[in-house]
Amino acid sequence: MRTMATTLVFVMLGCGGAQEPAASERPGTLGNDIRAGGDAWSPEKGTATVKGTVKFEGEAPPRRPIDVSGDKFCVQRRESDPLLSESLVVGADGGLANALIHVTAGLENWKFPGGTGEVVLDQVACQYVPHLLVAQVGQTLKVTNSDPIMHNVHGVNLKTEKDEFNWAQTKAGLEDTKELKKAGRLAIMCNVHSWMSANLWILKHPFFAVTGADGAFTLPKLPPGTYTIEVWHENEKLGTQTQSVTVADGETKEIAFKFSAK
Amino acid sequence: MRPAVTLLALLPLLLAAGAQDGTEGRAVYAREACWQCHVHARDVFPALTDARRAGPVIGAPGPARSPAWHLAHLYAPRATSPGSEMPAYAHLFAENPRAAEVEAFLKRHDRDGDGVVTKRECEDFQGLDTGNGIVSRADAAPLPSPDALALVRYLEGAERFAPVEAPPHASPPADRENAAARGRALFLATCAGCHGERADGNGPAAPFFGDHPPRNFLRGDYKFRSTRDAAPLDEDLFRTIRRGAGPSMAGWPRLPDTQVWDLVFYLEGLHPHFLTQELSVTERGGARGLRFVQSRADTDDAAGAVLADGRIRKEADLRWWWIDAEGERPIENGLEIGPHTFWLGRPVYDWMDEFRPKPLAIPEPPFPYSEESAAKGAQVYRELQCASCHGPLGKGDGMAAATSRGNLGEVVLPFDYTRGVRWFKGGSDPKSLVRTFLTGLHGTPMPSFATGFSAVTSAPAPEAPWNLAHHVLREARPR
Repeated sequence: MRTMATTLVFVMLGCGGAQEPAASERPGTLGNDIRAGGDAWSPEKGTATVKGTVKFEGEAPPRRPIDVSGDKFCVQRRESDPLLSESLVVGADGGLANALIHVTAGLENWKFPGGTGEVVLDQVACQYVPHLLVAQVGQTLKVTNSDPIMHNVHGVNLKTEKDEFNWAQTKAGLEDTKELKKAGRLAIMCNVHSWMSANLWILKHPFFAVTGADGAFTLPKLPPGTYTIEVWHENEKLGTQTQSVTVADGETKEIAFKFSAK
Repeated sequence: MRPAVTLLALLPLLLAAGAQDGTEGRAVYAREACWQCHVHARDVFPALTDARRAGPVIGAPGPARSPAWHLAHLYAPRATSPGSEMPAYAHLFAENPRAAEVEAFLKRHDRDGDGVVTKRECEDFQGLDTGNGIVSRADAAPLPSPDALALVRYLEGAERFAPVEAPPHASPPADRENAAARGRALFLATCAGCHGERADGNGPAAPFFGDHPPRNFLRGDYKFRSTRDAAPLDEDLFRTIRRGAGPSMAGWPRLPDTQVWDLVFYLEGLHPHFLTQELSVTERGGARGLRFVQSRADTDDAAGAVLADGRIRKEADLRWWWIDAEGERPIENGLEIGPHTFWLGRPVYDWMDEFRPKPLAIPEPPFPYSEESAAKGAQVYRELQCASCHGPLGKGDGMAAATSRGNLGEVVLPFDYTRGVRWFKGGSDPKSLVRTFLTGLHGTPMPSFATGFSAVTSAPAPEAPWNLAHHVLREARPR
């Protein structure tokens, strides 16, 4: 359907005359769906807000300590501050941490400019900080090493098995950067310290949030409309949940998600 | 010419005489009459007539051959050596008792059709894997008999490794219109024995290469590149085909340059990683248009690989654009599938420049090997903490080796380079080693050390990679 519509648009524009499409309309250009139509989004157009909480119901299992005995530095650094499993982190009030909330439908009629600036992933005391990182297409990923030992930052999009990168950072202070040109989810791991893992989501639009231990999130500056909001968590046992929400101009709506261990 | 009758009468004596040195493998070689077609460079076997010398000289200087290659070659000679007249020595193998079980398991659980079941596709392997983290046809490989193994040991002992050089070669041809189609025909004739007809690494010889399987080109992972994070360059693929990738793939030094380029373009058409895949040239409305397929580069659904037989795997994910003959501007987009793949010309590459892989600058070696350089290289090895994976002596037994996995979850051990330079798949000259240090090896845990080298203190930064290469080469020398 979309291809037909686009073809029609071209025909209407008189494609024999071969109008050069704008740079933002070329395939592969940052931050865009491949569509000829669509209004350009800008922050003033978004006046609505969706906010809420993501909670975990029931007794959260205690977080398992991770065995870091493979590396002397990690053992020493983690002696007084043991590393605990991050696969299910629940706050005191039942807030589910490290959940990604993002809009998966409802934004098709907008064109978003590419993101700007950088997002930073750090390696501290044999752990990735933050555990879940989200960026917009067009931003730059910067990975830094705060540990005096070698970590390799190995990222790959497991679904498409593309976009692989693998950098060795052999001492503290080293940095590597990568422009994020394609949307998707990259799993990031260290091959030297096999317990280290993080996820990097790259989205085409700016409507996303990551929960902390309080489970709270806010998606501000949404244009009025109906959206599908999805919550994703790395723990596959929790599954993914979606809710549909309609917001009018200037409205703020609250929604709540509840997860439980299956 | 001696009368055959007399010679035949002498045969048992000649063969018995040769067996006096006691190697089992030599006895198998004699018994199986390998000497009837192969001359052995350093061992004496009866000579019947020159007309029977159909096979290569055993022990002549040449590429290394791995034990896996030898086994595959004995079992299915034409799979590893296209055009060979050698009969199959399948009687030296026994059928794997688990073959039917493995096949049934693959059929049930191999969801993406790549011939491999990973933990993501099925958690419980039911004991079918050999501990390497995946189930594949390698777990159903025919089992070599003790005779076969002895024979392979004998052949390995006879080997004289002379690495294949990659001499200067012709640039890629400007006209690539039917290159991929020609490349496909050549691939089927030359490469499919290991890499499979679908180019997915599932050829008839593949099961013998269990822990280092033939590459699945549909995945787009390439280890040997000049680029840090991206797809390999045309040049990288040319080099690997020409020079080979270690003793399991000996390279093709005698293929004409144009044929190797055809293969390169065919391979590049198999994965959207390379971003532009041209489907066909057609006439349209008087203007000559070029259609090409571009996977949706800005989403993660871009899995629409063009299959080896030209079909698109996931039609709905693909878009294509008309471009005018100058390759300057898209005129229309739509969705259609054509039968062939081939490359677009230069103007479109410029337009897509933001996705073209950018090579790292890898200079020629600034100084030759020396003991001082290798000693400094040992310090660089310590500073870069290579021992975390490769171990203090380079035997691949570092602390990370126990959990070392490839992208499929398969066991990928850190390389033990003390095995010797014949095992260096990316090439054994210092420049190839430095290239690997700087780019890493996609699909494996080996990272790019480009940033690490910029921060070394035990040697000046531009020299450190070469020092390290010299250290590795010294450790790889036979002792």
